[in-house]
Amino acid sequence: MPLLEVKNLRKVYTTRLGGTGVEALKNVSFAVEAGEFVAIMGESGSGKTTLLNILAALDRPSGGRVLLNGEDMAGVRERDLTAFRRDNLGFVFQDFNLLDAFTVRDNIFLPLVLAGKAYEEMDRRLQPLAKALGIGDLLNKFPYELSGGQKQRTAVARALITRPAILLADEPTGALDSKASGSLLQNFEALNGQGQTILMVTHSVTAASHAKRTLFLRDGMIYHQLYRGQRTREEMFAEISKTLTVMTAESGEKSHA
Amino acid sequence: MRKFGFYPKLAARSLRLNGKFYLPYLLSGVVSAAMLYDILFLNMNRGVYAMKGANAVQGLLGFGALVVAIFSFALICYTNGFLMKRRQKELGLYNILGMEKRHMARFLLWETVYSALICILGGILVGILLSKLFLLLLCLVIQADVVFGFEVPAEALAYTAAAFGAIFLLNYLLNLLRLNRVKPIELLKGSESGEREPKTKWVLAVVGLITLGAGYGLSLTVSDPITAMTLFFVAVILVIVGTYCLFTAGSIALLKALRKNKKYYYQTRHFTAISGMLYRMKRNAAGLATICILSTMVLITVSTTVCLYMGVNDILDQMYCRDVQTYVNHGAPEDLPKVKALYERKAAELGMEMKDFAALCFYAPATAYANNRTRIDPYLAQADGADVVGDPNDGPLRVYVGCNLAPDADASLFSAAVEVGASQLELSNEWCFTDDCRTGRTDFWASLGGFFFIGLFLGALFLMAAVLIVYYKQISEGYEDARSFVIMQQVGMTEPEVKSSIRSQISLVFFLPLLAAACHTAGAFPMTRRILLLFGLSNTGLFVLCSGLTLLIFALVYYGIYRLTAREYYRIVRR
Repeated sequence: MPLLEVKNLRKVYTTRLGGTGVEALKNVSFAVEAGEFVAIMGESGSGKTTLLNILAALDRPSGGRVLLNGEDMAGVRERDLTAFRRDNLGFVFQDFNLLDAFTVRDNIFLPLVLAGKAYEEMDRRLQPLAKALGIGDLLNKFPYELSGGQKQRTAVARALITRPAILLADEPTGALDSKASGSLLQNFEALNGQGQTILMVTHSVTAASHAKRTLFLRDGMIYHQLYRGQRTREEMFAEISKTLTVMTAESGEKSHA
Repeated sequence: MRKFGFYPKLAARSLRLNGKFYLPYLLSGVVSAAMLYDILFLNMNRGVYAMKGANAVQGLLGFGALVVAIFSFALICYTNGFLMKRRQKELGLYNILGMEKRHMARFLLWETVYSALICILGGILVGILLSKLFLLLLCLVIQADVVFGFEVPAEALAYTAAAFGAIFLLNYLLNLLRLNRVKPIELLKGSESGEREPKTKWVLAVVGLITLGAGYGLSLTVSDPITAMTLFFVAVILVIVGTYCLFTAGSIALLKALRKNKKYYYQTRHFTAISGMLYRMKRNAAGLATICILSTMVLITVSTTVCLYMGVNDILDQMYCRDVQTYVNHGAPEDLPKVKALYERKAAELGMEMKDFAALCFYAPATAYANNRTRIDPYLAQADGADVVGDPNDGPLRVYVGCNLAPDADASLFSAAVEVGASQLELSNEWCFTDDCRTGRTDFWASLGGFFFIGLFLGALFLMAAVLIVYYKQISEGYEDARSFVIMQQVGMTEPEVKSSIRSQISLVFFLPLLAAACHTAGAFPMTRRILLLFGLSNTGLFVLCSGLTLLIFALVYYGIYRLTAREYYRIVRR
């Protein structure tokens, strides 16, 4: 059984006056096995964000199903959703979303505090994680004292401290310079190497080239997918670029036709 | 021609768009202008002039008008500062879109003109509508006959307009100063830049402890009412300074200590509340201290004036135990028979029946009596019957000689006759003035009624200020916190947790000042009680009751505001 299964997902946004709907997702199906590192690529308006919001249980689909560990997310009651999200999913956002009022340590502890864990347990989980992400020395600092890369690694630690089934990352390198991006992606690969399932939505070909598999989304549908297999990062980079070029060219033709 | 209309239009639009912030500001401006107008109206009303005991009331009203004016200024400055801070982003945007600072100055000028017009015109209108009500209320509390007719004194209008015009002009100048200091990039960033975590300031904490301790100490140790009266303001200032210092330094120390306690800190309810409070404690502290001081002012003003008013009959019974009294200043005891003879002669001349003479009324004697036995006993020995009135504990000593008259007799005529007669007597020392106590009672009612009225009036004003500050504080924090709560929900904070966390944070902000205010009121109790003794009020039970009731009612009103504000805050955060 795959860890995450998306079946015939549809999402229609209707305008407020009940006029014509916009179909953000038409018919999306894919599966993510435990231990995978999947990148989802697509242009703005391709439905990436909608897809991620539905996977994150922040939005409900209009049709189709999302199964996590075989459990249908539609079956989770509204008031249990937050707890469900907290226990199963970890999030990393483009703009970090750290809280200025908390130290790095407290920012990372936040989900565990919300889950009502004891301090000792939280501290036990934090130590190896902080070391792996290289933020062990920063724990007493405040977010406004950190660089972008440090902030994002803090955010990753916060996402992983609940030991989620899947780490969902929305443009995690979007606000980082190339050096910070590189080290963050290496962190992702290392975490994935230890068995962490990661699903990342991105614009960046470099970011996607670190993933084991890349899905291409266009006009609310899966257009194509690439497995990295034995390919090097450079080969993967070239492959993804080629696919993107073809995909963009096709949509250009379509709109001109 | 189009250019002329641009800034006025822009300013009007901006006021409308920022309605959520400007409405309470303008509303409080209207209310304080109305209050100023009404108090000036009462001060200048010809009907009030004609009332018995009007002098005392007029004086109190004049003092009240001054307090209202000064306070309105402080209040409008505070809220204006808050509004400007919130709008920095908007101004920054205008600046970047090519509006120069001098254009912005013009834009702000129009805004100020609109605000001033709304406050002054609205305030005067509301004031005129309410003036009759206030007049009736004043007549009621000072037990004067109802004044008929309706008037709008031009002077009151002019003073109100001038005072508020000046207030808004000053505010405008302050805004220009603010505008001049900032750079466009800072304007754009506005209030959202992160603040450093405050350091624990031990010196400030110690200063706070010392001043607060000194203030409380003064209140607890001063036993002489006259000294209490003179030192009261010293104590007030000490407590105000102490409150500011302790709220600033003490709160940070306390929050940091709470944060150190890991078991307590890492609980959903406390986690966000403590870190949030600590994060903006520098600003919070001054606001909380101000709310605390204002609440204390409301509590003390209202409780003392209410108590005086409720106890007015006690006071009168002690002060005026006869219809006509002669106050013994340094009069010698040997002269007492002469004075008595004078009373009898004058009564016979005027054909009045004299009753109950020879009473010596000791007003609030006891310790005073014990300390002055050698002085008082000779009087007692000379008198046929002695009447000792007042609290047997303490209070200033006064000695009177007096008598009662038939209900229809003219007490003022009699007292005047005695007064004249006494000046012709050959007395070894001067006996002081003779009072017609029936008039005295009416006058006293009037002045205590005036106190009561002013107490409630100013109490209402202080309360409004406290409400406004609390409201703005919570609203501004709501906007700052909205992002944090979105993030917390993303990392797994449930709806009920958001609610309980907000409740925890807001209740701390609300009930800390209330608690401190109750503490201050209790601390001031010994001193205020002694000051009340000066007025002749020695009924401590009544004062305790009045203080308790005032605190209860205030707490209820405060709780109502808390609920309203919490709801508004929650709505903002949940956006």
